[in-house]
Amino acid sequence: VFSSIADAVIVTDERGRVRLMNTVAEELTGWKTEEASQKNIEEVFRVVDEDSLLPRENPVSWVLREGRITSISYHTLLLSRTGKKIPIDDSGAAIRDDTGDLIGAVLVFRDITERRKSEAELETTQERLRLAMDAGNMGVWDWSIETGELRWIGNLERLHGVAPGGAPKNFDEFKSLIHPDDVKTLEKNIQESLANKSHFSTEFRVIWADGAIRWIGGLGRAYYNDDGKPVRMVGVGIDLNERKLSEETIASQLRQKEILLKEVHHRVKNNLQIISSLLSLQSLKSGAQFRELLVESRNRIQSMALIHEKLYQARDISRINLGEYIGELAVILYSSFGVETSRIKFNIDSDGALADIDTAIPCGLIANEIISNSLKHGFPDQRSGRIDFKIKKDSRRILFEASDNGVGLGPAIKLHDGPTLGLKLIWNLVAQLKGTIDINTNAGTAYTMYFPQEPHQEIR
Amino acid sequence: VTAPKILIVEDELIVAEDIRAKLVQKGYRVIGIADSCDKALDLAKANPPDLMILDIRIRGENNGVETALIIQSHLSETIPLIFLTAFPEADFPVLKALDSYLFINKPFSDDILYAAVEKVLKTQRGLPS
Repeated sequence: VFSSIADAVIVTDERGRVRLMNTVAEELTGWKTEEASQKNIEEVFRVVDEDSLLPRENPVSWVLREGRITSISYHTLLLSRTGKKIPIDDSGAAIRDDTGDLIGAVLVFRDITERRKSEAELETTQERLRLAMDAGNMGVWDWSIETGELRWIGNLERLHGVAPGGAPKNFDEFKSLIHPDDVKTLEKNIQESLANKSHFSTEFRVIWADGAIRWIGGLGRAYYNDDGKPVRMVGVGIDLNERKLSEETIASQLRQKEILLKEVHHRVKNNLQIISSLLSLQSLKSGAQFRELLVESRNRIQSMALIHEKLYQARDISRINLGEYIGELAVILYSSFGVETSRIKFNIDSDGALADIDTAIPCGLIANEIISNSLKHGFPDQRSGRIDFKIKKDSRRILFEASDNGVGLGPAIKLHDGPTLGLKLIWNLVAQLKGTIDINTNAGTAYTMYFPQEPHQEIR
Repeated sequence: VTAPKILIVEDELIVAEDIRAKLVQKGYRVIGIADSCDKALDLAKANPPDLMILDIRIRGENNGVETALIIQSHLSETIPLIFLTAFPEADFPVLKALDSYLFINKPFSDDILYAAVEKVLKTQRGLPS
């Protein structure tokens, strides 16, 4: 029995000389019973303070002097015969005979190396947790749903603007810290998490004692009993203030930029209106031929103004949908030339290609010339027919194709110094876009253009 | 039948003159051009119009929509309205205070202006006053 005890045991006589040792005691001290026998306990069982390494009073000596049981000593290192330092817990007790005379002492001790290791690991883990909570400006909360009791660990008091030790003791006290407008959302998020057994996530504001409003994020999960009833919720509280502030700043900067851009679009349109009105007033004083030229110029202005209107309304205010734009442009031009779509049909096959303003304005002006040209010259004597546009975009370029089945430009036309301003404009605008153009007048007129495209980054 | 009388409220004089010229060409009578709410009210009181064509962003404290409301309440009658602006309609929630109006975006084409004028005047004639 004696040797199978898990703790180390040494028995001494009334003068502190070793009488018996069990195996564990032999292993820990490095002394065999035969060698240690009759030796003073101070020699066999040498203990020092773990921190100072100064010798400690031997528990046996204390027991023999005081005649009482020692309390368990902590932070003790056993110096073994081989020089090993082993952290131990020890305690000693007196042995008395039937008459109550002190006849010896028994010393019990145990190796606590393993326990120390897990204690140290726990300490390290806790230290890391503290560091993490400090770095993340966060804390842990533990809420008993059954009792309503709430416990805070870490930086939650600071986050909530509560004095140290002033943590709320229950959920109702906690609620009183929260911005009144956010209590409902918080409670709803908790209910949803419990109902769906999902992770809990919320954001709310707290009002500090000085009136400051701060954002806090909560993340957690609930624990349920065997009946599936939630009993406890544990999670973290995180400081969201910086994030919320920068979100707000970015949002407000974006809003300002958007307002500014819209204002610019508005002013451009206003100015284009003034130019258009000037030309219109001018045309009143002009001959018929010049008046027609002024109408054409006003149509060109309309096509540019339409771009600004489209950009103003677009989700991404830096780009517009080319197909939609050309479609609306056609409506204006048909109306301007007094042509019904029942006579000359209009069709756009577009893949929804988006273009920035630098591409869209030349494309619009090109379309303006092509459609005007078709409507004016392509279908004389009330002939009927159709105009088709095809707009496709891949990663490198935009295909911009326009065709009609009218009478055509005629075979002798020279594009570079062609007779009309319209064709010259088309030619120059294609060059401006660094694109290519191919005009086919075999059946009606067909323009096939390609414009190279840079990869685009969206601005919203 | 006398030609319908039109009041133009527009602080951009070139644009206002352009509108006037276009209307006169079609046989309408333009009773005046105002660049602010106060001037518009004076002109309307002196010679009540059958139609008002208004820019929305104009000089002075009151915008074009407010000007229309003020004139209508002074004359205690509903005058047909056409708004002409470079802004989209959605930017002016105050338009909801009006019974009816037409909205034209700048820059506008002649056809759109003429069509709008004809439409509101026709509607007006069709309604019992």
